[in-house]
Amino acid sequence: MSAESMDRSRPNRRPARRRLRVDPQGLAIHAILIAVSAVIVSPLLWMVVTSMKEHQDVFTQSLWYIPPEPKLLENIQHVFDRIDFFRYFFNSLFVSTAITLLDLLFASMCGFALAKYRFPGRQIVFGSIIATMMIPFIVILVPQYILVRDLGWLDSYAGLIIPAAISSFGIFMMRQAFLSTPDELLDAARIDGAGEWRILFQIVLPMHVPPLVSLAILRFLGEWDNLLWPLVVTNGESMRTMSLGLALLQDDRYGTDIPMLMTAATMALFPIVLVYVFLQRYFIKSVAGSGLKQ
Amino acid sequence: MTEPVTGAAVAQRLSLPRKRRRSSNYHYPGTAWMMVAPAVLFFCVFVFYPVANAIYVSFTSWDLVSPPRFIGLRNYVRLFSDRAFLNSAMVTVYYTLVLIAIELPIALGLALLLDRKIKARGLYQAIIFAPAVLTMVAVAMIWRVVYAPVGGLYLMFTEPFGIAGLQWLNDRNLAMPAVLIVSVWKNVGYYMVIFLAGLQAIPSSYYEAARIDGAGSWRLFRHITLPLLKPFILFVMVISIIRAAQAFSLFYALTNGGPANATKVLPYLIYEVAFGFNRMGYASAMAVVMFGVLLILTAIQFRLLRPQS
Repeated sequence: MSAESMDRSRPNRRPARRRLRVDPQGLAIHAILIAVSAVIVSPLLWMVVTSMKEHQDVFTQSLWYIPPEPKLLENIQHVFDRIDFFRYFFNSLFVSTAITLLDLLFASMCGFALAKYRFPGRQIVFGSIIATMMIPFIVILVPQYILVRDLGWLDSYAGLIIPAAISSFGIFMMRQAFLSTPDELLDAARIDGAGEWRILFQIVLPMHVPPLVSLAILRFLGEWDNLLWPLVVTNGESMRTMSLGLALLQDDRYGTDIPMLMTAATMALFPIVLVYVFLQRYFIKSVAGSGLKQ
Repeated sequence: MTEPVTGAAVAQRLSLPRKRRRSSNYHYPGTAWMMVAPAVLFFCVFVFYPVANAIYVSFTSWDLVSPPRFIGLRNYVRLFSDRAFLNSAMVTVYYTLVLIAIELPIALGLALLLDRKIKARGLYQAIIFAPAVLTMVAVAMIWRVVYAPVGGLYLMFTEPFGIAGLQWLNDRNLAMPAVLIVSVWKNVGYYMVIFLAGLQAIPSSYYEAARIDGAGSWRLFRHITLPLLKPFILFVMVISIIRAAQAFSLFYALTNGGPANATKVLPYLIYEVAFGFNRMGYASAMAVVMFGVLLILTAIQFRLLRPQS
C-alpha cells in the first residue's frame, strides 16, 4: 500500500506534528548505548592519537594529547625500519584468500553432494565430518606439525594453506543452504541437458550467493586472525603473517617504542576497518546467521 | 546443446503442469562421490590421521629428534601430579567460566536494548560489533599500552576514583581480570548479534497478545523472551565455551602467560611444552585430556539442548 492510499483511507487523521516530549526510558537506553559505544571506540581512537606522539609524550603529556606537529609519518618510517610490513601483509592476504577460495569450492561440492544425492556412504561421510567440528585445533597441533614437517612444507605457503583448506563448518553451512534447493529444479535442468557439475556451478551456486559470502567472511577473518599455526610452521622472516609479525614486533629486544607499536597496530587494522565500514551489513549478517542455522 | 541453462529458464519450465516424477537424485552415486572425494581425502589426511596420531604420540616420549619411545600411560599418570598442568587447567576453567558469566548477560542485555525501534540502531550495532572483526594480536598490542601503569588509557576510567599506577599485567591478581576485560570488549558484540537474531525471530504477536492479557515487561521477558531464546542461549554457551577454552592469541600477545603463570591457559602450556621444551608426547597427553573434558562438557550441553528441538 502506498503512502497516498493510506492517507486517503483515513481522512480524519491529523497532520503529524513533532512534539518535544521527554521519554525517560528512551533517553536511558540511548545513554547506555552511547556509554557502551564510547568504551568500545576509545581504545581504538586512542591508538590513533598515540600513533601521532613521540615516545616521551606518552609519559609526560595528557592521554589525548596530539602534538602540534603529529609524528605519524616518522612513526610509520620506524615501523618500516623494524619489519617488512608489506611482506607480512601480503602473506596474510595471500594465505587467507587462498584458504577461503579453496574452502568455498570444496565445501560447496561436498555440501551439495551431501544435501542432494543419495549415495552409499553418505551418512558416514556426513556424520564423521560433522563430528570433527568438536575437535579443538590444539589437539591436532602436534601431529599436524609433524605431518607438515614430514611433507617438507615447513616455512612454505603450502604448509600455511593446505592443512586449513577445507572446514567441516563450511561443509555443514553449505549443506544446510543447499537442502532448500528443490529437486524439481535439478530435474528440470537435467531434462535441458545439463550435467551434474554444470548444475552445481551454473545453477545452484549462483542461487546461493548469501551463504557463500557469509562463509567467505567467516573463513577469511578467522584465518587472518590465526596466530598459533603460523607461529609453529614458519621460522623465517619471509613467511611471517601479519599477526605473527606484530606479535614478534612487540617482543622486540630493542625496548618498546609505544607510538611505533600503536602505528603498526593502526596500519594493520586500517584495511580491516575500511572494509568493515563498507561491508558491515554482511559481516553482521554472517555472524547473526550462525545461530539461526543450528 | 543449443540454449544456455539458466535458473530463470528452468524456473519457467517448473510452472508447466506435469506429472509428479520420482526424483532422479539417486542416479548419480559416481558424481556424488567425486564431489565428496576431495573433502573426504582432506579430512582423512589432515584431521583423522592427526587425531589418531595425537593419541598414539601421547603414549610415547618424543623430542622430535630421536624416534618416539613407547612409555604406556606414564604421561597421563604424570599429568595429575604436575603442578604446571593443574595450574593451567584451573586457569583455563576460571577464564572460561568467568568470561561467560560476564559477557553473555551483557551481550543479551545489549541485544534487548537494540531489539526495539530506536534511532541510530544500526550505528550502535555496527560499533559494538566492530571489535569482533579486528585482528586479535593488534587488539592485544593496543591493550598492552592501555594497561601501561603510567600513561595508559585505563587512567581515564580509574583516575576519577583516585586510582593510578596499577600494574595490570605484572600483578598476579590483576592480570586475569585484565585479560577478561579485553575478551569481553572483543566478544560482546559478536554474541549480541547472535542474540539479536534470536530476538528478532520471536513473532511480535506473542508480545501483543500477552500485553493485552496485562503482562508487564518483566513477565514478558520471563515467560516469552527467555523460553523462546533458550536454544540461542544454549548455542551461544556451547560456542563460547569452545572458543574461550581454546583462546591462545590473546594470552600470547598480551600477557605471555605471566606473571608467574597466572594466565598460562592450557593451549598456551601445550604450545610451550611441545615447541619450547620439545616434549611432544607429554604435550599430546595434555591435549587429549583437554579434548576429553571439552567433549564431555559439550555432550552435557547438547543433552540440555535436545528437549527444545
